[in-house]
Amino acid sequence: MSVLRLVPQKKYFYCLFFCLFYCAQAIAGAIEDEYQKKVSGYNKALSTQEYAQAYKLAEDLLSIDPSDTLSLLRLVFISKMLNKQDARLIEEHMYSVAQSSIQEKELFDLIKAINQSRN
Amino acid sequence: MSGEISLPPGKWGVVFEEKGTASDSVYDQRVTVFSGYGAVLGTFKGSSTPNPFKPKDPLIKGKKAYPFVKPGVYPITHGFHKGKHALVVNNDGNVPTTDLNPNFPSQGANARYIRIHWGYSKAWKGSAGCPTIHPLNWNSFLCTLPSGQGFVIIP
Repeated sequence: MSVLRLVPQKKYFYCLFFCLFYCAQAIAGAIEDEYQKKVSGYNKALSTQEYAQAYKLAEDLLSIDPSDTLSLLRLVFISKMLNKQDARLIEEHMYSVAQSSIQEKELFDLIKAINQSRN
Repeated sequence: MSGEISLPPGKWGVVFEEKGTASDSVYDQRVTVFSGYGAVLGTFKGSSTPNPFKPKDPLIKGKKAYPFVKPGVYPITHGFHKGKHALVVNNDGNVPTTDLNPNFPSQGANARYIRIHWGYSKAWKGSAGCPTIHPLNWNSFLCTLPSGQGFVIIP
């Protein structure tokens, strides 16, 4: 194969590499942004007492990352404010949230206590 | 079928093939549903691995972020995930993982409550260890599943 034929192939390879790299970066950035927007939206909805909206956003956060212990606290807190009858759903989320650090375990115990206080 | 792993004879199953077998950057594995007689009931896009990183801290990624189910054959039954129809793997009991479960170190190299469920979006699986099916394929995937107990193959 001549050098002249290799050059364009190399070009295509680099183009493909950068396209894939930037696509991956864009997806990564997109989900981080979406996550942060939902966290901000939750806090805003909580402060303006739009509890149904806050509940929806907490559910979305758990759909993005089912291991997110803090988002389950967000959900159970709003659920209690709304007096929702969803203790079983909260229990199911409790199976997937992380308990890998002391902080996460403390959050988990708080979630459990809030959920039990409604029974 | 996936490598040397095969479904138990006479049982229906869901087979996740290797990465790169489906034309999608996120749900990049072909998922085939087989009847108990070995007939192909449908093929879909899915993924047997979790989210690539924690969205709140992208530096926590791969096997440090979530457990990866160990390749093998596992029993599945119809059940629920977050109140909606899904497939329950090994009756919600221990499913072996490739490494120590980073979210539940006390469980060792195991994960519980593994379900095959719908993906969060086209670009994000929304999985903390569960196999997922492309959200646009989810309803048709459910429609092809036979009743009773089946098996899933994870490559």
